Amino acid sequence: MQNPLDKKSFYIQWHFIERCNLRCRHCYQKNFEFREFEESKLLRITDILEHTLKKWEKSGRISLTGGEPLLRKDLLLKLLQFFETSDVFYWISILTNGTLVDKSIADQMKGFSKLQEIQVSLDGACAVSHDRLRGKGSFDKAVEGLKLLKREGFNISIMFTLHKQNREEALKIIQLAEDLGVDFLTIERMVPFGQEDIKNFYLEPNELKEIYEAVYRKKVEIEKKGRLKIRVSRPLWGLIEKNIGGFCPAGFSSLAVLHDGTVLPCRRLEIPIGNILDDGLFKIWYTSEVLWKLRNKNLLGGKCRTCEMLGNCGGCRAIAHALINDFNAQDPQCWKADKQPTGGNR
Amino acid sequence: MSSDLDDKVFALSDNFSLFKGNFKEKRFQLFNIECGSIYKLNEVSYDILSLFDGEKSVQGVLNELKKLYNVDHEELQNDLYKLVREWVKKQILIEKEVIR
Repeated sequence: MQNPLDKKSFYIQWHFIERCNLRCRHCYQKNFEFREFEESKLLRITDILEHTLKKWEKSGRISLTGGEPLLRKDLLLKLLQFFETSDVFYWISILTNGTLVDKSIADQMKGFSKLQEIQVSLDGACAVSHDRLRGKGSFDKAVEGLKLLKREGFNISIMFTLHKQNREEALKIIQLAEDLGVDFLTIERMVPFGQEDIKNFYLEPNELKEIYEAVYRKKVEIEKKGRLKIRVSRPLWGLIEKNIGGFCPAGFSSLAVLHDGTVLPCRRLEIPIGNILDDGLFKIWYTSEVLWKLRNKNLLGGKCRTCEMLGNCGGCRAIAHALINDFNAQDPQCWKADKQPTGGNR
Repeated sequence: MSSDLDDKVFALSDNFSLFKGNFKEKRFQLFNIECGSIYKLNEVSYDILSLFDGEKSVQGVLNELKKLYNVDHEELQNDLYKLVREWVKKQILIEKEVIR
């Protein structure tokens, strides 16, 4: 398998279904009604993705998600089949809430050698904290799903979306991940959408710093002894330890495609830049003003542009957009930068 | 020396998009948004292509270029004709009908 850090690789997060069986309080998605595209349209999208990456001589990594992708197992399996046989895509993952995993689908997915990871979202390390955000009974089902996937031999990961209401769970989730034999854990900041979210979920920079420091200490300790890897390749982690973290790939080597074909620079940066079916990817990639602005580090605002950590950080553009209504503004959660007013844009 | 091109009017094809950006260094590019091809341009080629707006004739473009570049008229004219023919052949420039 090609090294995912290779500059020749390109990442796509495809939310091929909007419907979901959960209604999580902090979800980026606000609608759940769209009937997913019929198979022929989905296959047109796969063709566009493959054709584009072939032209660019890139190797593709794709995450299939929703909504909840396991609500349409038939479509999920068709897409897995397509990417499995593609000579452009070399790595596939599924991002799920884990509650609909069963032995039958696990057996059917086993045949896909490129399916390298199944990620389950957990927002707390126990039923009380997780279910408060995701609904009663969802924790037990998600954990059962993880266990089943583990037993069936998949690489499994947890996505923990960090915010004010689950900050106490950040260290506990590491322990849970280790106990479950999870391969990877990502702790990702939540992007608040609107004033209500800011009030309910937003962590101030110094609160975030404290959590990141504690998580990093735990990561060093835990990775010495077990299989669990905690992913810290995103902006701001480099402020904890200069050899970790990373500049966001949005605009450079990644895109998100939504259920109706809308393309976003990143799922969390909700600025539509076109529709894959109407525009194709070449037009979007070459002509989107948003993408060109993301690519030009000279346009970064505040302290991000002159920060010595720029090459390894650059801040989260989605959080800047959500809080300051300027995706090139300095990351409002950066504890190195001056505090900025947080207006919100929705 | 005149050419059959002088009165013709051209515009950039809808399949192409011109880009100019100030990164570490200036960047000039031409993108084919249909097939995905990318052409790296120099600043002069970018300036010339930008002048084909679907309204100015080739002669009009030549006059604009004369204001921009202090070069021999005949040399500039010949270079322009050559470029226009090449870009028309590659369907980068599309001839526009002139209503008289």
